[in-house]
Amino acid sequence: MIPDQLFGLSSNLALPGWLILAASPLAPKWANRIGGVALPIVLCILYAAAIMAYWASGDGGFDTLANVMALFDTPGVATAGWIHFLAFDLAVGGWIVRQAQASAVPHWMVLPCLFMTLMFGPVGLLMFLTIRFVRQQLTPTASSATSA
Amino acid sequence: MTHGSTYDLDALPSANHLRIPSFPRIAGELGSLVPFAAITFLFLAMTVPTLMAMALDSRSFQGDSIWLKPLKFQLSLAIFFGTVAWFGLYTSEAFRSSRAVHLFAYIACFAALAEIAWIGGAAMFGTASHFNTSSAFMAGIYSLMGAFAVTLTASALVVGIGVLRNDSSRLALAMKHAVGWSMIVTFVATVTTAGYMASQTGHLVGDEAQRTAHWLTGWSTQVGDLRVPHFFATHAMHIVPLFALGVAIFTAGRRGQMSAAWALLLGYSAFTAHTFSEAAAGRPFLCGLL
Repeated sequence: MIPDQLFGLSSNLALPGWLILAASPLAPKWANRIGGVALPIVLCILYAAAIMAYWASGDGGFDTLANVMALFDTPGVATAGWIHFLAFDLAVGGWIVRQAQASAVPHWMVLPCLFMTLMFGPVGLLMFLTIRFVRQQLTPTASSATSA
Repeated sequence: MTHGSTYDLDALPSANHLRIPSFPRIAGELGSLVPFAAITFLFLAMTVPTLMAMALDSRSFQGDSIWLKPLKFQLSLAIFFGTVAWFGLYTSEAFRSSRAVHLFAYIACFAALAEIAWIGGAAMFGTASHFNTSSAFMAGIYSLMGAFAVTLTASALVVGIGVLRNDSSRLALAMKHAVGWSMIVTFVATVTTAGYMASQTGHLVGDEAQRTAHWLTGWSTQVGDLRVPHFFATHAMHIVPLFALGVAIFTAGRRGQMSAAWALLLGYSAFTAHTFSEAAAGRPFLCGLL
């Protein structure tokens, strides 16, 4: 299999994962099992295989910007790096959905966070953490409710 | 339902054994030996990305995919440690709660992990693992891995002794000897044959005009191949107990089972020694007849 096909395959695995997470209120348990756990695991396995197969084909390293850019000059290593994004972003998306369910964040607030995580990973996570923090501050807790 | 009132499952001590064994129950029974079961699952899991890497990677080493060797070692070590863990269930309770055995199990599993990391790492960088003395670094690792290989193989020795020393074994006496002693044979014969192979420059003895490989085993069909005695040495703990089980089934209740077990042990050891001398003398397995 050439890097192009692997790239296509991994995208075809990640996108359904995001759709499932977006539709998670319909079947929360299974949406999390498939979109939040199983598909990220499959992407992690694909990443492991890609890095085993392609790592030695790339020049460069992690120490300088020039070396990191050199790594991404090789199709195989660049594909592996892309799967890294897909796997971690989807895993974070699943974490966001679970956390939102646990702290009762409405799904319409989660959706933009998921979209931003899909597009710009850390920005989506930051959005969700901010929303959750603000809601926790604004929600009267049991102790403050009794003292008021 | 005349026996309904007397047939009380809870009163039967064996009621628990009717359930499908769960992993926590196996782990509880294994005690000190639990790392052997854990590493079995780990190596099996590693075959999944390795198979995928094999599909992605077009590089080859000595004619085969570069990932064939890591795959073979993951599977072989999974079979090895799976067997050690399984036979470990026939050691005594005291053996399975020993801290020293627990420590040894961790050390042996660490050695096995290091072997797999070395073999996989060498494949990842497209170079040889065994027999690689191309640089001082690789030569140093190669000799260290020799020590690690002896350490991990010693799991068979340690558990084999544990099986033999169990006075209240669930195994019949002949079967207990077949299992315990064959594990000791596995250790001694593997260290001998693999140690000899490591002292050479490669696994072949003799020059092949063209590289030959048996369709199933991959062994040379033209010259001596030291992987043959290594294979039979290491599988003593599979083949001898399997034959002993066959003998026990077909001669159930008759005498002489102990003699049969020892005949199997000695005969198999002699056969392994024969394949060793054959390979060392540069002759193919069974004169290349298979």
